[in-house]
Amino acid sequence: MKISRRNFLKAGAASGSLMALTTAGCGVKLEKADPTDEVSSSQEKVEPMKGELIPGSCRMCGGDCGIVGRVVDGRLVKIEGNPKHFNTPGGALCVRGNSGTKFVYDPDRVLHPLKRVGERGEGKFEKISWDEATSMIVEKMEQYKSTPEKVAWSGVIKSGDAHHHVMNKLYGTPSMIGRGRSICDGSKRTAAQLTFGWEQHHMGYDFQNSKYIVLWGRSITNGPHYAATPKRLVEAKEKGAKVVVIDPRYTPDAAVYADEWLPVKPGTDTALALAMANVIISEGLYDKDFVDNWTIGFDKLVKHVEQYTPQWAEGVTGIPVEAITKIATDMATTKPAFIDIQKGVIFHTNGLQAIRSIYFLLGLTGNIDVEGGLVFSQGAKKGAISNPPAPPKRPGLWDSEKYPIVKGGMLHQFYKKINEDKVKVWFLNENNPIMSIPEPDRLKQAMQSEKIELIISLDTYISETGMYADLILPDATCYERYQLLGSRANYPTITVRTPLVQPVGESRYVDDVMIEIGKKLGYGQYLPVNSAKEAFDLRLKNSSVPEIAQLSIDKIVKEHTGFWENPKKLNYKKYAIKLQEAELAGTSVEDGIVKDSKGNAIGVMVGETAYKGFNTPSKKFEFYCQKLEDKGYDGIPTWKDPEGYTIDNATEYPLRLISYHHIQTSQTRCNTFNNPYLMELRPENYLEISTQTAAKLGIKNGDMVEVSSAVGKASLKAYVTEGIHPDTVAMQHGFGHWSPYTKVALKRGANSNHVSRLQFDPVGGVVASNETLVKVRRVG
Amino acid sequence: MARYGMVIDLTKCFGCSACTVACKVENQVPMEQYRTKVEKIGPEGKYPNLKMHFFPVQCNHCEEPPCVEACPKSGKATYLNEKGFVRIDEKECIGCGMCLKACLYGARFINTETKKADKCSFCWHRVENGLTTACTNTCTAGARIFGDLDDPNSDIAKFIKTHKVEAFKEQSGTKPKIFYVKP
Repeated sequence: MKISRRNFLKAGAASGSLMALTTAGCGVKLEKADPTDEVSSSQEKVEPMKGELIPGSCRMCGGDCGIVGRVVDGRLVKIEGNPKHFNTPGGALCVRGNSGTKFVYDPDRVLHPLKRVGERGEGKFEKISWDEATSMIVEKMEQYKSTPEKVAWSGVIKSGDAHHHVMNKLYGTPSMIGRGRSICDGSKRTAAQLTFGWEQHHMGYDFQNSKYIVLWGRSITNGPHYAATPKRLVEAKEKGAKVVVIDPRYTPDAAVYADEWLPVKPGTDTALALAMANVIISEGLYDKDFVDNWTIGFDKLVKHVEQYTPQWAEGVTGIPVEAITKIATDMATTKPAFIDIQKGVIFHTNGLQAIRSIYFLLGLTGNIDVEGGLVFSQGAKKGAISNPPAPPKRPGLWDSEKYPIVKGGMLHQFYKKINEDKVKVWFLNENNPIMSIPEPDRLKQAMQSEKIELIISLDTYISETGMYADLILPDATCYERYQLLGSRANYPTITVRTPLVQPVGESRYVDDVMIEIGKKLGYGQYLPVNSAKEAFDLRLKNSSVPEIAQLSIDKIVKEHTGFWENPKKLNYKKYAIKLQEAELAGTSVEDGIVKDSKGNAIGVMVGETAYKGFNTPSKKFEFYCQKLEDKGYDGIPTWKDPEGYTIDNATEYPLRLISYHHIQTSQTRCNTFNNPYLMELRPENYLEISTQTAAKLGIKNGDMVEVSSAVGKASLKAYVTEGIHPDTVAMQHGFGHWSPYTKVALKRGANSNHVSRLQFDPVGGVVASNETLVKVRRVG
Repeated sequence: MARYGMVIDLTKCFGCSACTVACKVENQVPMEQYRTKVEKIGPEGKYPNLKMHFFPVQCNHCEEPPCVEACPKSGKATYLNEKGFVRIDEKECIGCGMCLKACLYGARFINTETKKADKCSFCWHRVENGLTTACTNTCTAGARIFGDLDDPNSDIAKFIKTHKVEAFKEQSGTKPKIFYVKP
């Protein structure tokens, strides 16, 4: 007997790589691509798979991958990748995404608004109503309405969304401190903007089309940025791409995907990059066309890197001359090539300049905005919720004279702003700075001060930082709220986050809360919405892009299976687009730069033709950066031993401590750290130490060790391995939780931020958590 | 009749264990128990010349399964079905654990909730609904291929024809149906 597949799928249940998505009602029904295909029945009874399939978006890390949730009787029972989504082709989903059912139903979640009743840090709270909570906030915000900069927001900031609209556009505070910058990749973004005038949270990678891929202080297996990055790297390898991993640790990337692993000494990336530039230039391997036509400062660079020979760099980086020469040569001669950079390079006091020197390698080889190289990705332009008059300009929290290049504030220096009495009210969403920033006692003490009057933690848990808050507002998880997001594609996309299930307890999404607060503050005129969903729909409707303006959340769910995209917009070499005649009307040319009638640079002359060029002052790719030079920094990166290694006595503290992320734990914020599925896989972190270093110190695998610096210490088990640079020790970030309210994570492993010194890159603004000298001893 | 098997490509697997969790959620496997698990092998060698790979292990759905032979209710409580799935009938299983000892791969366990033998089912319930297994579906490296070994047009049959694969403990003669691409 044959049974039509359709009979099995009545409940709308199925997904997988073979499936095509169709929509029905609000949920999504997933059916076989060929509905006439049939399977033979079996003598064994097969239960039809139950439930409704609903498209949504994951947030177990920051990747916002498309997912499909299977919901049975209002309960989320399974999460898979949305097979149609760019991030999750075929349904691929990472381990964290898979574990999400334990997040939404975690018994440790905060279910009601809570008000502090004990001292800050004591962790005593009582339940209050939402109305009481928002009234308390509104009362405080009213008090500081004329000095809105004293009301700060830190965490995830989505420019234009309701929380940002209310805080920044209506209330008028400039004190919006994005977590995605100063304790993430701000230096990388700013380096990109300075060097070639384009920045985004993650670079536009195009792995599947690359022929030579360098993962530099960047692990795609431990922090893929979206679920299917490994798939795309594998695809590139199957097409013959070479992969090089530059990392002091022998990561799974190095073991499984790399043709070569270069265990660089931590903090010496600038030296390695400058020596590679030396090889590429001295061997004449650079892209003459790109360098001649599209860059400035090449002559200066040529002279500058003469001193940085591979022989010299071997002594600094620990990478042999032959290896430096080989990867420089291979990278320059295998096109297209791409270098991806992340925290191994960023988290140093010289991070921005190190990244610039690595970007030079992509510039020298012409791998800028080409297929398979570093692609300038294009987002989907959404409109504003409304267009209120600009609020009065208020002073920012940061000294722009002292830190003229830093963008977006410095969360790691926020404690000083509290101590300086510059902040009275602090909202935190999706961030836990007491865990994620070194020397946490500084922030703890500041938070205990009476100078700050109201601390609001919008979170799913009572985190360590939440222990010091006055109000805990239960946040809806990614499975319980609406949101508009992008994807990691290089063309415009919109991912819709939808509530797969009703919010647990009284939890609410931050934007819904902020719309209520905005209305209570009297901004109703500019908040013509009653919910986050309505606000998102308005942002779509108000888009200047016609095909986006006709979308709505429901439409994207029903007609586009939760993910809208416009791959036709994908294009490369956008800097080499010729200026049209209309654009050239009324322009003048000054030093090769095309300027409009107001004097704004709109393009650049290359030969006799005017092009759009790069969005830098010179309109070219800047090896030499006048802006940096003007502000007292190096116009071209110069090698210096990073400051963090020069403070302490290297005889007493001979090892370099680095921290790293792992795929099975997403940093310290709420989403993954208390998840039993993930905790089973990775129940604690270890101090990774090289076999030869451990032998000298009498340390065996599994011994309890104490790792200490001049500013702090931690105790944890040793993992003795050949897979780490002998001068380096490493700890995975994301352990050592101590909030008694997160019982799964409580007292497991140790926090590397209890050892690292609180320092940062003054140019790029990012915390330098990977730059502290330490010593290690066996304690049990 | 179909003969289902799996390829696991160890040149792609990077040990994230998404398969482990997808399987646990899909099949409601109790905490601290696993139907599929990924082992880290290495690093071996001396710094900086090292080798390391990851090795997913689970029931191999052998064509001559010793677990079936060991079962006192052989043919009922555990059996090889017509599509090559080694199945467990929970109603028949008495939880004696004989099959656990017989398995070459340590793939079986007594489920702490049902008190019956448990192991990878090759997601029978999904496959019969036209889907692939939960682990294959979720793998972010595309390291797993599942399908009918006897269907020359299946991805798995085509893959095996063009790649060198090897079953784990092949020499035991139990005819395992998980084929690994060695690192």
